[in-house]
Amino acid sequence: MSDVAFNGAKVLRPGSFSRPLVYGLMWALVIVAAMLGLCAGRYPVSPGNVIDILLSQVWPRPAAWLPIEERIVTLVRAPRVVLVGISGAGLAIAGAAMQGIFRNPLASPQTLGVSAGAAFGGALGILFGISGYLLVAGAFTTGVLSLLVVGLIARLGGRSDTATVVLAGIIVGTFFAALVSLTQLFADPQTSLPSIVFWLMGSFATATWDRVYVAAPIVAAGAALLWMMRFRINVLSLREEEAQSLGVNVERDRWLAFLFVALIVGATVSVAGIVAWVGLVVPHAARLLVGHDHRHLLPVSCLLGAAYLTFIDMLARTSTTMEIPLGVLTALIGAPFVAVLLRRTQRGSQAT
Amino acid sequence: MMWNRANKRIVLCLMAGLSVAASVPSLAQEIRFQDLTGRAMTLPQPASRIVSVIAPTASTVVSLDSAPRRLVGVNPISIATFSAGIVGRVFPEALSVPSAITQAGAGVFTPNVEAIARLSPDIVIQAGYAGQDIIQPLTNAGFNIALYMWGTEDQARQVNTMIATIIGRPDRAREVNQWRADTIARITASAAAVPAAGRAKVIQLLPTPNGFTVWGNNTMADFAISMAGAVNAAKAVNGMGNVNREQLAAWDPDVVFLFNSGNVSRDQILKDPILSVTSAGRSGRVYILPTASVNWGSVGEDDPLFWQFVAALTYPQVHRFDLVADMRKWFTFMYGRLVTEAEMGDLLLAARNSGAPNYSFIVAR
Repeated sequence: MSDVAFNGAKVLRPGSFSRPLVYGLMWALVIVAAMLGLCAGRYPVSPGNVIDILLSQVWPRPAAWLPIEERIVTLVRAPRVVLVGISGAGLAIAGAAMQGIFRNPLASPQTLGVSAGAAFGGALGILFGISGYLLVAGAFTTGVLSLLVVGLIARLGGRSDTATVVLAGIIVGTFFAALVSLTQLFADPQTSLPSIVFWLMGSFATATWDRVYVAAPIVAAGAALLWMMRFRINVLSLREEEAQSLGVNVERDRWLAFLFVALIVGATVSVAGIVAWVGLVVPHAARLLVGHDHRHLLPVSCLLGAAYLTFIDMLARTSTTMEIPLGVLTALIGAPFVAVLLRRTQRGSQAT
Repeated sequence: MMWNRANKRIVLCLMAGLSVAASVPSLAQEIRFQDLTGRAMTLPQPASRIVSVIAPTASTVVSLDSAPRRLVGVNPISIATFSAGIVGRVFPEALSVPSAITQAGAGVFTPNVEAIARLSPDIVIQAGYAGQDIIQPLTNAGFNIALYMWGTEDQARQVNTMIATIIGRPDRAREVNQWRADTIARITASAAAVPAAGRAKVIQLLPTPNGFTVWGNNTMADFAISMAGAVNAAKAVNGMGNVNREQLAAWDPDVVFLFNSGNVSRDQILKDPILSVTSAGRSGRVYILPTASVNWGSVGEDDPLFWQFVAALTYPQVHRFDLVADMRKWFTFMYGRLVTEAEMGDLLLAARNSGAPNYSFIVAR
């Protein structure tokens, strides 16, 4: 690890850490966060019992714990930790890909308007009293639909530029956000309205294995496909003319990446509501560790996103008797982080 | 000439009529009262056109007047409560009282001043605890406003007194308030027999898509549970809050009362993989709270029935009340007709609570 010093301040050079060390650290973080997530909760279960219960799922052994402890660990905490981890990983890799493709540090999975689209499907589902798979399917469908609309607006003559895509994303996002407000207008103030509001703020409170089975394959597929595009995203992060001169079909690859991002975001929103800031903040932190090369930025973002969101969710459900909506915590932690990052970047650019 | 003489006679008659009409208000009983925030109000006569922007007071007006005739505007929540409970059964016309009097989406109690003005109310009842933003528009429009507060037993009785005074029937509030006092005394006296150690942990909750809404400290549920001699398992929450099932498992309630909203069912506890292994889940002591004048467990004029319901089902051997007889007596008082057996079974949700321990015992007793 090396620091560059100027003006008396130490500034980290992106990517100056040893990569094996970073990967080792990231995996360790994921494991620690997952174990913390499994051990912490409102119901007291000793860490020893948690480990015994987990081991007993693989190697059956006589139970030295209460049946409710086993249910809490295996049916409440385990699916939640898995779902949170996968969602965090997905949102972070999607954010890293978006920032690369748009060549803009403020791009995030929300830029495409997919979150608002999926949120509308979810809110509409709650309004009509739909739950379970149908709710998830509704949210996911409107999420992907919003990407289609963005495509219809932004693509002209088979081409689109990134600025138009951003604008189309804002338009579609705003439109669906208005539709979400409309559902709130008609929601029963005693029952469905609080549910819609809480869900829009983001929460994994309803995590079950069923939801894991629904969301995890889609998020994992989206993340894997983005990772397979790591070289192309590196090229897409160059200027468009340069990318084309390197033989890349910019238009096709860009929309393919958008589709994979939409898959991840749609699936995540459909099971947990809007979890903001993760896709924006985590890639920046990952970039500090491994630099701008998407071959490493994508997997490191993925691991860091999983660990980060697992840790945040643990805080959300254990800090107080009532659960704190996840979006509140990700914003409370994310906003100052981005502010510090912004200051450092400005200082760095002024110094060079 | 004949024409002129006739006209003069008509004019004289009209003037005489007008002077009599003008003297009527001074003959009528002037109404003076204080609202729950201490504002002194005067009405020239008992209000015959009442708009209740907030939900709970609409059914209070009906029960104290034994009729919905004075209600000209109510909150949409009130219509839902009328429909699910007793008011809509006894007075089907109450279901068609205009309810488009709030600003949809701007908060449940934000008034739509123009819609209210069209109803020409003598008085508008509004929440006094949610800031000036929902009061000022009504004041600016020149309505007579009575502000409502809730949270203590004293305030609940003041609400009854205020509304009974507004409709010119103060004696009705005295009777209802005496009933509240008597019921509290009765439950408190019998709760003295509950052993201090090992008190039952009781919780009132509502499953939502994101978890469970619980009624914590400083709620009517907390009041009822404590009065019965039990402990509110959600005491750590101040007011109402949303918790997850792990928290509920940690509290491990002995008795669960489900707030009657939407399609709430006992199976949401009894078939839940986590909650089914709590004490209440194992014993099956999970009860859906009825909706009568209001949803029991919120705040309203049949609170004494809710208190007895909670006490009798928490400690059936200690609180031996004839709940059904009390319901019959007070519903007759409030709504002016005897509730039939079938209606009583419906109101007590006998079918949805069937199989719950002690339930048929309570209902039948």
